[in-house]
This record gives sequence, C-alpha cells and structure tokens, in this order.
Amino acid sequence: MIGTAVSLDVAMRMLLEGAKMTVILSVLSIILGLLVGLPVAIMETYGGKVLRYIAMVYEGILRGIPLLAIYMVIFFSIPLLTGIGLPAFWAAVIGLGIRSSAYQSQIFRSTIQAVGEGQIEAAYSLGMSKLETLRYVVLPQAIRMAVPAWMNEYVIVLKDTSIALAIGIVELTRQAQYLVSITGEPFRYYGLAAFLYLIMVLPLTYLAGVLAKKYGIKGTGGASNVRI
Amino acid sequence: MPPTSESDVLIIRNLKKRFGEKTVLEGVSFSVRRGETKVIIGPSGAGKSTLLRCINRLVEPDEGEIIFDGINVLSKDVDIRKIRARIGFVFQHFNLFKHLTALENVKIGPKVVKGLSDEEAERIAVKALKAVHLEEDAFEKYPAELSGGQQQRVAIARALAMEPDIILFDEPTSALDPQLAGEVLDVMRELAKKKVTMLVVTHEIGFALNAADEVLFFYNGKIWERGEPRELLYNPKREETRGFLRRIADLSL
Repeated sequence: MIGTAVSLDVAMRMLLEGAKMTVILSVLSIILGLLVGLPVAIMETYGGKVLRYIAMVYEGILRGIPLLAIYMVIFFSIPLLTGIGLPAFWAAVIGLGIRSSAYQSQIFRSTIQAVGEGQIEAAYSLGMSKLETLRYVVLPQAIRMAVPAWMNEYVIVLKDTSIALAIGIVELTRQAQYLVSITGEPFRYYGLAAFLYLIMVLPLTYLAGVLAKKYGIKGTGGASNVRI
Repeated sequence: MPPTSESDVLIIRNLKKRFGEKTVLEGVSFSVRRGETKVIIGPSGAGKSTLLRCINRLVEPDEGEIIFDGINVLSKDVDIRKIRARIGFVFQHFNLFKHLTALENVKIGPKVVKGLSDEEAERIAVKALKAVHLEEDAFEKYPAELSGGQQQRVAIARALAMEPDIILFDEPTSALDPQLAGEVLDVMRELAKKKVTMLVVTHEIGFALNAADEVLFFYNGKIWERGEPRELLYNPKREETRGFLRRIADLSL
C-alpha cells in the first residue's frame, strides 16, 4: 500500500479532522488544569501547613514525570490496579489536564504572591475576611496578571496533545502519521501538520497580546509584555 | 493607669510587644477622646507603627489592654473584623487596590463589609471623595494614574466611607514629596476641624503644632514625653525629645 497517492483534498480533510481533535483535547485539558490548578495555588498560598505540603507534593510529582509516563499510568496502569477502564479520550484529557494543573498552579501562585501584602492589610483593615480579601482583592488581580503566562501554558498544552497519539487518540500528528504510512511522503504530511500547528498557535500569540492589554491592570507590569 | 471616661474612644493600657529579641513596645498607656486629634512623633524604630498595627490587630500584641468603644479588642470572643470596620487605617504607601478605580476603591468597603447596595455605597463614596477634594475627573482613574497625593487622599476617603469611630494614620505623608504632602495634610487638618477622631503617626511637626490636641513623643518603645503641642514642641523637657526635634524640624527652637 505504501506509495498510494492521496488527493490533497482528502489529506487536508483528514488533517483538519485531526486538528479538531487537537483543539477539543487542548481546550478540555486547559480547563481541567485551571479548575485544579487555581485551587492548588490558593492552597499553597493561603492554606495551612498540611494543605501547603499536599499541594507542593502534588505539583512536584506531576512536574517531575514526563507526560508520556503520566498517560501510561492513567491509561494502562490504573485500569490494571482498579479494574476500572477509562476511554482513551478521557485518559488523555485527564493526563494533560492534571499535568497542566501543576504548571498553572505555579503561574497563579506567583501572581497571587505578587499582589502586595499592603493591599491585603488594607482589605483586612476595612474589615474584610480572608475569603472576601481573596475574592475581591487578590484573585481579580492575580488572574489578570496571569493572562500572559496562562496563554503561554495553553500553547504548550495544545502542542502536547500530540503525545496522546501514544494511547490511540487520533489527533493531528496521528493523522499525519497515517498519511505518511499510506503515501510514504513524510516531508509533505508532517510538514503540513507542522504548518497547521503553527497557524493554530500564531493567532494565540496575537490574542495573548490583545487580552493582556484588555485585562492588564493599569500601571502594573507583567501583562504588557507578552512573548510566547 | 490613665483616667477613663465615657468620651474615650480608645484606651490603651500597658501595651507590650516584642519581635524576637527586640522589644518594640514597652508598656504603652494612653487614651484618645472622641473628636480628638492625637499625634505621635518619634524616631523610626520607636514602635509607633507597631502600636497602630496592634490597635486593629494587624499585629498581635503580647501583653496589655486595648479598649475600643468599651470593647476589649484583644478578647478571644471579639470578631476583629467588626472592630476593624469601625477603625479607619491610612497607610504610608496608600495600599490602594490596584485593579479598582478611585471610586471603586472607596465603594468596596461599604459594599462588601457593610453589605450596602451599589447605589448607597456609591453615594457614600462620592461624598467621601468630595470630602478629600479629589478632582472629579479622577474618580474613574486607576491608582497608577493618580499622583501620590491623590492616591493618599483616596485612601483617606476609603477610610472615611466606613464612617469609622477613629482613623489611624501611619506616616501618611512620608512617601510623598512636600507639595503632595501639603494637599494630604490640608485634608487632615480639615478632618481635625470637623472633629473626626484621629491618631496620627507623623514627622510633620507643622501638622502636630496646629492640628493636634496632644502630642506623644515615642522613644525606645515608650511614651517618653507628652503634652500640648506648643509646650512639647517648643519647650521639651527631656533631652531625647530635644535631640529628636532638633534633628527633624526646622522649628526655631
């Protein structure tokens, strides 16, 4: 079969289908990462000793293991140990999502800490509780300051979806692999896939700049200089 | 023990605080009457800021008593947030909320802490901002777009909007150049005239002279000398007070 010609039309349709999976996977993963990562960051900055320690261990483990290994554990080992199987798609979302949560928690931890002690004291002095201070003073600023780094994290997640092909997810790189195995033309199809990754990523770089401008806090640095 | 009376908003008795080896407050006692402006002067490291921060328990004192409007502030049963809501605090570095406009900075207290409606909070905030003479075109500006003097006036308005029983000022003009300090001091003088109760830590001898009802000179964690502003500033009894005044003031002593 190797050497069969595939029309550009068919090839593009396959690649775009793969790209669609890439986008879906990356969006679900970054959201899961946010839902887990932000509370982890709050635990690390506001929690007691025990919570802080748990959060640090969580972060350390996930940042210390390669994504491929995380996938293998989730997809292959957990079903063996627990007897509960997980569809590859959700294993991919969970693996990428929790890995991202460890990096997102770092992003939010640093921006939470960047909200000065002075503002927190001012909030306490008005009579605000810890929770109110977090809700009305710290998080609105921490989240806005995190926009550039968070967009950067999204780009990383988007690119790392390709590793999900190892557990059978048919995303952009996997589709390119198919095309290469049929046609024997790696340069053309991996090249096209690479090009598609680029045109997904480049607008995000632009978007990051726009968002940073829109949501940046006037007079605070950080949000104005965006590089991805 | 200092005399207590109905009109004392704040009574401090034998307040002590140490940080590690260093004793910062060594048994401080005084009281503040309703409507009074009390000024605390003294060299840095004398415990002035720590004292203010103990009063609303941003710092926990080790020993002593703080009675605010008849309530024992240091009691375990006290909800300190309720006390803080009634004690204004103005910081050296303003500490405005950077993501909020001037108006929002002043509104947030009445809204979040007192649970007032948006309209009610806005009405109070506008009134407070007018009381500190903030230019109306600055209401919608963010802290970073305001001058230091404007920022500190917004911070004072933020305290005023809570309608506090007393406002504590922690070196409110030390981060400002003299011209901007002037506009802040003008506002504080007006508040003193309106009988807003104030406890002010400052190096502004001029303000102490014409706005204070009493001046306390802090030295080595103690009230070293106290008295009427004219008496204490022009005619200090103790050597340390004289030395301090000579160093910081351009008064003709």
